[in-house]
Amino acid sequence: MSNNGYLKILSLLILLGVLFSVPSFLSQYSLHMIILVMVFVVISTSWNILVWTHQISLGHAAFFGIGAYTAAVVYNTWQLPIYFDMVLGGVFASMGAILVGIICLRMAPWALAIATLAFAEAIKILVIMLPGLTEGAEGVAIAPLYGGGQTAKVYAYYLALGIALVTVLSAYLLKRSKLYFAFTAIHDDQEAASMLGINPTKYKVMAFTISAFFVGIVGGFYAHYISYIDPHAAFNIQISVEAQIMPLMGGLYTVAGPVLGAFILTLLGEYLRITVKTGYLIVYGFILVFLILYLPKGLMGLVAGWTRRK
Amino acid sequence: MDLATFAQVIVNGVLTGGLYSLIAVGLTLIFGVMRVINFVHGETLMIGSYLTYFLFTLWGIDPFLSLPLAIFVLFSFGVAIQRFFINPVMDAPHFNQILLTFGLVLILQNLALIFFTGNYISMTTSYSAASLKLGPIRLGLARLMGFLIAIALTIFLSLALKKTEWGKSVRAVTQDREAAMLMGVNVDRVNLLAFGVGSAMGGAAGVVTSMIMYIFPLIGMLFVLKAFAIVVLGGFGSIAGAVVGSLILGLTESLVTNYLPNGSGWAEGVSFLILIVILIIRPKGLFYVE
Repeated sequence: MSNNGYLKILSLLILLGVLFSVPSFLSQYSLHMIILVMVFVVISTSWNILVWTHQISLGHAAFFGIGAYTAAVVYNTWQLPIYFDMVLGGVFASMGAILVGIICLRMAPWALAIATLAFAEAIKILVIMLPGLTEGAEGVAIAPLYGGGQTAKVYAYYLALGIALVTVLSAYLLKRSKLYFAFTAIHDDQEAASMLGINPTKYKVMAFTISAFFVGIVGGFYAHYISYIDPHAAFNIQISVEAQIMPLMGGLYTVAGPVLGAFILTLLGEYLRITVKTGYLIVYGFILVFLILYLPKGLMGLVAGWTRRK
Repeated sequence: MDLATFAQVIVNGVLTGGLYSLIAVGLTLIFGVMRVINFVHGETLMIGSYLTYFLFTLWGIDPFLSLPLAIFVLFSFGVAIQRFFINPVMDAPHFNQILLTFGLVLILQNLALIFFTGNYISMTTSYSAASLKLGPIRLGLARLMGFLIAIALTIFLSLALKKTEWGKSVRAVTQDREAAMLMGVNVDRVNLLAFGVGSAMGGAAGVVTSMIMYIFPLIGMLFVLKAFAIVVLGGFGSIAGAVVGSLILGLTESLVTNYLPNGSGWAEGVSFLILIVILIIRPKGLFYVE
């Protein structure tokens, strides 16, 4: 293994060490921020998996919301262990993704973008209009995660960290697997891929399903963690926006990029939310436009450029 | 079912459809020429409606007088957006284009939030409350005039596309960009003009919107989603399809609002449902011919 490889592993170990010891030195508020970072690491990594097949979703909030509502409603009805309803949230989100995937089989990427946006809005309206199941616009309250309080927040952090690690590890393994070749083959040339015996439809739906599964789980986690969920928060278009801008900022098609993007933008977003209050999303708009025009490969592209030059 | 109510519901649907067609026609024009998914289109409506509102409340300028101004302002706006933002990514993947226009939407929406606050506002002209009576049917004067503006502008645009040199080059580029280029059409100029004209139609839709309903900073997103549903329904790039699609959406929403329990809540979902259903059964649009 090259020096570079050892360096990578070492820095990864240090990062993991820091992440595991975080609760011992961070304040409650900072811990809350890091939990949110973990939530967005999952969302951004999952969205990026979809991009490997060259599909864009503008409606990842749909899967987040489905996960959150599934977890909340199932928990309030049967009081099963939270891990069960969170995974169920992931499963339901995946089912939604299969539905979207099948609808969008014959669709061009641009049409898919619109369809996913419409899907998220449609689900939100369903949730608002079916108060028998979801309590409508009022939202659902859930018992605080692990009984609430300071220790509970530490447990919540480890749970979020666990979900984030599993998601990132899955993305990493996916990227090393044969599946990744199938995914990118569709991306590069759909017709050639299907001639080589790769069924584009199958892999497109598969990528959608995997992506939605993790987002659904983390949606369920979020519902438990915040202990209250309402349609406008769960299906907030901002979630869909952040899902795109975070991987883009870090670097599309990489594994580390979306994680990096989630860290930077969640913390920046919170800082702006406190200091600017109204209209702070304008900064996101500028970042998005800037990235597309001047830095389409994101920060990881910048890093790659530097190391190559050396 | 009461026949008079039914007639009223149909009339309301058609009037709303007229407004929808104004925004959808511009969107479909831009898509047809450039194959760009333009989320900024909704913001042209937002800008047009605030422009009209402030001209009226600050200086008492009637919406009819601000119409030409809005058309001019939004035309320039569209040309600038195309020139400085869309043009650099014309050959980039769709992906980048969509995210770029989405980023521009975030900027414009939040500028509006900062300057105009998130409040819902509306203006009252001398004819806001006036209405015509046709037997049992009431026609709101502002809505009727908005409808007529929409029809007039759409007919004007269709004629321009059919008869003028510019229109012919737009149609040529819509059909086959490469061939048009080879035949000596100045594609860059066509792009600029199409984006400008499309945005101007959006601005006109904003003028009409401010006459008949509440406006708020996020209004553009609401309308652009409906416009996308209409454009998908009518077939991307087809002006006639956009008009028919608008009427279908307006009528369906009006019927749902009046005849379903909790109808106004469900009506908001009609466009998304139409969108999804059409994409399943006819992904290239209802009126698409090979």
